[in-house]
Amino acid sequence: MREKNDIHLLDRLAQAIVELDGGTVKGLAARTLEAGLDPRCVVAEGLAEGMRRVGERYRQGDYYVPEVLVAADAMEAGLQILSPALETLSAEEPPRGSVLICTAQGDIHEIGKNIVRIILRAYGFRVKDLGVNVSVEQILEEQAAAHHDIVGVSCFLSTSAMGVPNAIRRLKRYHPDTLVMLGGAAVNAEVARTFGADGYADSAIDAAEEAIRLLANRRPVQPN
Amino acid sequence: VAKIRFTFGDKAKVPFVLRTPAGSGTGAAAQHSQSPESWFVHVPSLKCGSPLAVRPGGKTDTERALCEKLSILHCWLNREELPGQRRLWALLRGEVPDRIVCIPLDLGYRARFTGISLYDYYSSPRKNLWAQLITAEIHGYDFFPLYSPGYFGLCEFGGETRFPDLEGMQGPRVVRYPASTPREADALVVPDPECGGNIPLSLEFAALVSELNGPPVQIRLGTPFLVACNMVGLENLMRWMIEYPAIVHRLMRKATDFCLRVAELYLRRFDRKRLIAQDGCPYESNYLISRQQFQEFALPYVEELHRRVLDMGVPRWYTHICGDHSQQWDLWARLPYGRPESPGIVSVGDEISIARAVELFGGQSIVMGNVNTLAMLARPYEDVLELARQCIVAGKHSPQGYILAAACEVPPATPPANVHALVRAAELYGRTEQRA
Repeated sequence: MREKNDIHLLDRLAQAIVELDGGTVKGLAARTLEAGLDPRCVVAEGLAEGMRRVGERYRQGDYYVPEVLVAADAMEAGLQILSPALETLSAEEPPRGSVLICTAQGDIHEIGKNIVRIILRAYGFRVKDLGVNVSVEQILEEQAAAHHDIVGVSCFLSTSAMGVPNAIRRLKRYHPDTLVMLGGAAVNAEVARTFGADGYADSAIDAAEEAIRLLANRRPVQPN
Repeated sequence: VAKIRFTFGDKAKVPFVLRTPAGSGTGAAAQHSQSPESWFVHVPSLKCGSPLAVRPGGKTDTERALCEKLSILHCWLNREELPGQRRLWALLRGEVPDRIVCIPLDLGYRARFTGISLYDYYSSPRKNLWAQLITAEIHGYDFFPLYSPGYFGLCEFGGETRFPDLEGMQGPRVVRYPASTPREADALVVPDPECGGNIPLSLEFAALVSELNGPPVQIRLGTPFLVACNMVGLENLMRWMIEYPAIVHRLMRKATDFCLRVAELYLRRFDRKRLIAQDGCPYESNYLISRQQFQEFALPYVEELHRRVLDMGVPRWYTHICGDHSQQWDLWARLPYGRPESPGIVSVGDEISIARAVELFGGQSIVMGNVNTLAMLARPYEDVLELARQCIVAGKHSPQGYILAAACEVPPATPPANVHALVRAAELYGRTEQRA
């Protein structure tokens, strides 16, 4: 059972992120360590909870991209305070994961993808951005070299999205343990599932949360 | 023809260009493999050239100059009529054209349609204009030349972009922004637009257009907010709006002053009656920022820019309000886009209906838009025709007139039939009665 004071501290930490107050986030993160809290709990119930609340505000139209970016920076500042303690626990800590993102072949829209890239980084993912109009060959080449946990494809144009199922099939053939996420105006959760993707997100915040969920639920793929 | 010129010692002008295929090289037997150029080159006083001579490497300046004269662009430079100019100018003068004007906004599509590389399309004003002319003529839409080498202001303030020279690049890319820290941003100085960056390319394009008979000459600008994004990167500008608002205001000031300098440059060089200042505003949309942020950081500067450019003597603006501006359409409607005798053009995406755009902007400006671009890319010709018809019905009685166009840039892979659907709709449904 967690102490009432600890819960209060974590709530204040989350709220400082919502209030875009990086200085307070740093101070409160340091206080959680002084109070002897597990830094992983501080990340999950303080920093990530703060970003979840920011995501809510974003979805409700109270916050826009500038607020989300500054909130992400505040979270990053808190992470830096916690990082020495987290590193000592790193052997037990599951990797946050690496993500390859790109816009589908034939599609040149990049603003949405770029926002997802920023938010994923803010959530602690290592992100490789291959840019726009990316062919399946480019994805396969990058995967062969770097073995990212997740491949995220942004599909703004419906015709470009038509090539995505084939790209997923080829990717899964060579890298069966790679998770695939889709997003963008040309797809929804149902279409993404039909295409063979493992996940879908309709906003940048959702993309980060979906990536965390996918990695948490990932099961090892049995070799044929 | 050659004999007349020869007989009069080269003093008689005989402007005549014959363009003909020759020597197919396909081994297609007698009817398709003749090489009449060997006949022509032996006729005294006849100048002969082959487009092959303009390929890079080993050709002389004389050959290049001759081939340039033989190019399609050169033919247009000497032509009386360009596609749709009477109609377009009737609209721009506030008169009633024979039918609504149709300008699809098919930018990168033209490179694909005409078979030139994207590198050439963006880096060569001449080839870009050629592609625009060919596409307008083949489709039969109204010619409205627009050119952008990408990221207005970025190179001029000291950054670097790269034209699409690798497979997979669909447009110019940013290599380096002019500034990446608040301190660097504060150190940026408004540049002389004649020195460096991509302004010389835009000026070259404008000079070519000004040689053509009639079309508007674009002053390529951006909204100050867009220029500020290009000065420091979108992500930095978004952050600094909260963390360093004073620095963002100083960036906006510099961006506005830069745009004004560019406008002054065009006014010094070109016939002001043909000038049209152009800007677009994807970054101010409510996909990214709120109404309050728009009001604080973007609106005062774009309002000042529009007003001062008009005060300088530029007759009108062409503004593409890109994306979802549902919280701030009323604020955009406050801006000046032209004068009563020279209405500006407001182009809208399909986040707003044409009927609503007419209510907001139609009193002072020509409304332009907004056939869904995904439909143009993916749906059958008949669907696109119907969407275009609906736009025309909603827009054709707009007080200052209406231009049928796509909601945003036509996707480069759009089937040509669906671009033609817009032209066909303008013909079928856009014949103009007297405007209300």
